[in-house]
Amino acid sequence: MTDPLLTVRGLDVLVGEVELVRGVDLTVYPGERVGIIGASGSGKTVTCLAIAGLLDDGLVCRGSIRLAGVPTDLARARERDWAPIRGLRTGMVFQEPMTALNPTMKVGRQVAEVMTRHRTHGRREARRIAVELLGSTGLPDPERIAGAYPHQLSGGQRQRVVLAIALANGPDLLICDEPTTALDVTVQARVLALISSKVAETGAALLFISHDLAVVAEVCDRVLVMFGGQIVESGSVEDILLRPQHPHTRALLADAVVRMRDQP
Amino acid sequence: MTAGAGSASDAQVPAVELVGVGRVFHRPRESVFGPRPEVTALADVSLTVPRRARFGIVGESGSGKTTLIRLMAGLDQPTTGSVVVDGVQVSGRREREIAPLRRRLQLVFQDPMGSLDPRMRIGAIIAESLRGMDPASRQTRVAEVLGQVGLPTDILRRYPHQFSGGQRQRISIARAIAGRPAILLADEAVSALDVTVRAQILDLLDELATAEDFTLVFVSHDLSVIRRVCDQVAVLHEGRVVETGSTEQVYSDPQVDYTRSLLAAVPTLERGLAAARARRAAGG
Amino acid sequence: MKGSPKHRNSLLVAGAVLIGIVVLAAVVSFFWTPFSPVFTDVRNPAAPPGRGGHLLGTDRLGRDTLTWLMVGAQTTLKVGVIAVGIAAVVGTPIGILAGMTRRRWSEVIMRANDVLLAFPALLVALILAAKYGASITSSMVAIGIASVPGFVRVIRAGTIQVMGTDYVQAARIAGLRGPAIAVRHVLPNVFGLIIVQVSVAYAIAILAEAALSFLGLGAPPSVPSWGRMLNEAQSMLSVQPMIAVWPGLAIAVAVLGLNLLGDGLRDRFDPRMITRQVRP
Repeated sequence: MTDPLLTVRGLDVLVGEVELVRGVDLTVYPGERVGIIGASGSGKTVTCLAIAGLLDDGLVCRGSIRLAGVPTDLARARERDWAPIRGLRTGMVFQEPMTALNPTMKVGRQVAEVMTRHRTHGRREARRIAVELLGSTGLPDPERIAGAYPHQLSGGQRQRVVLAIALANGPDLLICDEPTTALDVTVQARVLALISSKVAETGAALLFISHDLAVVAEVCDRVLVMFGGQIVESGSVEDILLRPQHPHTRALLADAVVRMRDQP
Repeated sequence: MTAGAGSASDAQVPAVELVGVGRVFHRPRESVFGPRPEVTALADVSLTVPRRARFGIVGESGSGKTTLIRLMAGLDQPTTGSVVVDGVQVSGRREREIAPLRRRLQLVFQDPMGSLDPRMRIGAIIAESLRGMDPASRQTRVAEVLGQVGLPTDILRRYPHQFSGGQRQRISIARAIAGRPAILLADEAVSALDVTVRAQILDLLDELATAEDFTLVFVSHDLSVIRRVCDQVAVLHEGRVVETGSTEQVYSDPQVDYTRSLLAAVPTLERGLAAARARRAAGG
Repeated sequence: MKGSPKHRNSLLVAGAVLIGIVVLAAVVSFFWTPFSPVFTDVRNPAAPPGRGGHLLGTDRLGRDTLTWLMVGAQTTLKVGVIAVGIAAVVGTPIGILAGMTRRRWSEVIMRANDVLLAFPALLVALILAAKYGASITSSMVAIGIASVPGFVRVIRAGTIQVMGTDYVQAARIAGLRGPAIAVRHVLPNVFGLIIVQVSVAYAIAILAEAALSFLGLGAPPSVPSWGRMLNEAQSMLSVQPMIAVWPGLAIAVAVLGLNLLGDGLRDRFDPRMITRQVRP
């Protein structure tokens, strides 16, 4: 078996005395698609922010977070340790695409910037690849889109731009935090298909956070169920959907059961 | 004033009636002398929401559903056509002329963060539509609706930021039903919520619509959500109504391609399972 | 959510202490000052701190610096109350009105505001001085009028933001009209902006008062004012720099104190800051 890409052991996240996340163990192998599911407040977003090194000031992180090929333990990494990792080894897609983009910058430049910043490409080259990337995310007329500002695009188009930025440097790990929650169902379906095909195409591993089991099932192979800051159950999508063990997993399934009946 | 008083509440009068409603927005000029570009949000929409119906409006963002709900709420005026809500002509009237309607129609918003004034206490927020009532009966009513939405009454002096999204949406619903409206509009009221909380809020709206006997107009992009609370549905696409009918009928036998694509987009556990199996079979 | 409540509270306390010093100095100066404000110590002009019983030294005419700072605090407080008071009391309602009315009226208000913005305080001061005579009051009214446009702009921007929120829509649906929405929703939510703008306008007003006094349009030479002291110290910089340091320090204390107090008050009035969210 290959070495794991991401190894998280005994992760605790605390704000003051309160534990938001407790004893999370998580392993992601290269190219694997792992989903984290839970209600709001279950600690799934905090876990993913800790892995991306984006925890707010005042949140304390304990345990270890190891990314293959990085000597430092990311649980203790400082801001400057993160600089060569973020955007290069890991890409991140957030829930709200409007706030993830700089409103005063044309989106083409924002995609190119992540490449010039890590010196993966020269300025002109980055510019050309940015347009290509935008095109590859299914945006129509990528030349024109590259010259547009975020507010001129729809929510789905913005999320495609964010995905293009996340994938620009061919990361080993793509982290998606509720990437389709702010989108319409039809747009959600297209963005999910896009994430799925992009991950398959680039061979990146996927860490996908959502509150909706049906969405996670669509893109992931393995699912971790979080509740009260802990992982209460994990297994393949099939196991979780067909043979849930923890009562909380059953409750999550029950909430989605309406939809099960809804199949036309 | 009781909910049943006045001829406006007569069962014969539909809750909402739209005839040939169009709404065109003007964007800023692109050149100094050029015409202002026009965007048609709604084109020739005619709809009748019967009294005490549970009426769903489904459509993607950009379909004009938000414009439609703003017109029904009297927050915006149509460019063409007429809007009659609860027997009151809304189109072509000034804000103060439709004041009588205000108590009779309430709105629940999508964003549970933005719909409650962060500087007001919960008690004051819920009492907002009860102005003019004497303080004692106002207090009684606030406590009553808090109970109805399943919140304890000791939260009156707290502020919105102290509550979770689902709790805030309950507060929003409490505010909306406090004045015993005849019509409740819900604009994507569960879209920002977790599936678990979403199910609870839908159940709550369902119960309240029965108990309080109001007309419910529920707008969403998700047909499965509409189906859970509504018996009738109109499908909105690019500013036009492309399909109407009973929810079951539209759900099981959609007549137009657009409705079919909306249905196909709703994520389901079966499809997710099938996708996972297919990937495993392909990837080995 | 950055900074603990304790930290924010200490900002408020620090601001209150600094402003408290200024207020105390002004109050005490009514009853007692180390020397008479009109007394000139001809043997000790431009004295360094300590010489001849002058704790902070004297200016170029031999007037006691501490005495002048204390009496000057009265002028400074007057500046605050009159100039900023005019600006806030006039500017806030106009700003809210401009943010709440229809676009056409809003445009009219804002263009008129731009004209006022382009109208120099100096000219207003000249007109007022010509009509009512040069005094601290007339210069303060001039500065106040000149500060109105800044308030209008900031408050209008904040109002437009508040008017776009769902809770204002909810209030409209609940049957609230413009004035009720302005008082119940807009004013509390732009309050933080008002406080910040007050502290900015106050700093500008102190400096503007100094400039107007220097030109003879404000406080007459016999009335102590920090601005005047700072201006007069310029010619003495090479001889006795401390003469400039004291009023400069006093202005800094007042402005810093007001800024801290403003930030502290803004947080104090924000319910989100009082009670932290209880995480589930």
